[in-house]
Amino acid sequence: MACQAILLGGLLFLHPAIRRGVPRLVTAIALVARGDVSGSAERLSPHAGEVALTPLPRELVTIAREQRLQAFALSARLAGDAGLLQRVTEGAWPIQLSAGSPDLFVARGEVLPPPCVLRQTGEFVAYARCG
Amino acid sequence: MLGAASLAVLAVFALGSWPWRRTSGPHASRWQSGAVVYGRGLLLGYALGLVAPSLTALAGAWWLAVAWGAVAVLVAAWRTPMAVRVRIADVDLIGLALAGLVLLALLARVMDEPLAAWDARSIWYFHAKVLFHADHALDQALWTTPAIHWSHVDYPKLNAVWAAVWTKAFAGWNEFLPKYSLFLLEVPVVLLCVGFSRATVTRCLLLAMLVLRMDPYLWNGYMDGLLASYAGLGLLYGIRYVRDGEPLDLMTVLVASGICAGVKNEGTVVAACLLGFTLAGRVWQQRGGVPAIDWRVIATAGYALLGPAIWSAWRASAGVTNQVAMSSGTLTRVRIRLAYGDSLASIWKALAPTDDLVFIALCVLAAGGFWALNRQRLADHRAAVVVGVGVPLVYLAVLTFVYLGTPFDLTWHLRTSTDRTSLVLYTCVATGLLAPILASDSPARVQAVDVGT
Repeated sequence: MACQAILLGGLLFLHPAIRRGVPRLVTAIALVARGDVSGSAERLSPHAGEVALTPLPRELVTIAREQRLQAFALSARLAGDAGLLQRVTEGAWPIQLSAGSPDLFVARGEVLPPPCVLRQTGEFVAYARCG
Repeated sequence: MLGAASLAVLAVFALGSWPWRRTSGPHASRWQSGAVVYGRGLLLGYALGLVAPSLTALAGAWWLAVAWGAVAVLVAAWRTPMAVRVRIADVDLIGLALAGLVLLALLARVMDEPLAAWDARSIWYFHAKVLFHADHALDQALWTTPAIHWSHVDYPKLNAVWAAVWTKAFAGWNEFLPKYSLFLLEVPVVLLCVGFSRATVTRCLLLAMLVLRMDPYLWNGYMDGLLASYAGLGLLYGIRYVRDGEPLDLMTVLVASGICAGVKNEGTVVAACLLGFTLAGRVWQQRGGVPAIDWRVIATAGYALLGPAIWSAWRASAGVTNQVAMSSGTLTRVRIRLAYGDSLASIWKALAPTDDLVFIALCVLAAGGFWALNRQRLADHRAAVVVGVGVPLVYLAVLTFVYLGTPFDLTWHLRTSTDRTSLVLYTCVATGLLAPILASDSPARVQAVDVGT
């Protein structure tokens, strides 16, 4: 039992993950205990918490939803960023990324290929309909 | 939300409660029985979620499961003599307080932040989102969509199924609600930490080792914390099974193995190691005798293996493959990396404990000191000690082989994964070293009394 107590003390006081994690857990319990659950109702609504996406994919996903797209394509410049590709794909789902889609997103300021027509411009991306 | 959350936990219990017998015995074994029933519910829900034509209908069936569970509890209570039913002295207040506090902390932490971590968004909860919108799981066209090939679509779907089914109870997908599946999967971890022993120090040590040490991987949406916790618990109870042969411990190993195989691909390796070593260790302990297997163990094995077996078989038939799966090129890469350069040294260096160094050193000292002082008891525990050392060693060998055969750049693969793979490895090392000592003063014997369902 003494051996276990030493191990427990060693873990609690010396292990970096525990020293890092325990204060956060205690804070979380304290918040719940105080009844501080502000914003909990908003957390039930669809799309809540998308702030976790970085601004560019978030804007793209918002435009794709506003335009009620089924699928969309990305310009070569946007598609070349593997990280962005993942964020956009998972963020927009079930709107699917498809290279053959006539609905094209380009980076803002990027020249549109013919015969695309600009439909909406955001802070980071622009949406165009091609054909 | 809180009502639905509580009902979800009850539904998991109800799913796992058939067929089951309540057991009377030490406080600790009741926690363990509860965890096994709950774990069976998680695994049965996984299998049902994979084959169900509609996850929306499955979410509706939850309420039926809750009703079934309520009836089962009432019938069991009716059949239990009053003297057994009402025994306030039997209430394990310290265990309740510990489990309640840790579960509350986990729930608060899990639901505190939206999904933000990379793998959580790109893999684990993306798969859940795909299931949520498709409303069914086994669909070749869905999982072979070219646009999502980067998402490791072959990975097991235990978490994804529960996240999708749970979120079906609400208006739509968002970045907070699905994370509740993490809490659902973590409940048995806490119950089994508290249920291993009646000694408060042992309970706190296990909670520190298997819950607190996982920061942040038990609440950021990664599956590595869950895998490490269940691997550790499987080994802990497996070692006690080797020593005592109690069927409830074997059922615990089966449930832990099933969950390991349901959360990650490497969990299948962990599960195979746990089950293989546990059964072989028990045979050795009995000097060649065949372990007693009753119908509850067989039923639990069915629950545990069904979901992982369905997913593996479907995945193979649908051609959904893994990027680091064995191929003819794997052995060539292993040979080349072994023959040239310092790949092996790089792997072991990357896997060397950093955060865990002091703790592992303390575990080695504790185990070494204990067996040096109790040499006469070592003969009775030889099989348990070998299992405790063997599982992490075999897992280390498999990890080394996988890294040697990786089709990716080895440096990149090591840099992006060893903090998580070593979490599982060192949890197994720590529990493997300590379990024979912890098991020596924990109650395992449970007198099974048929009192109900």
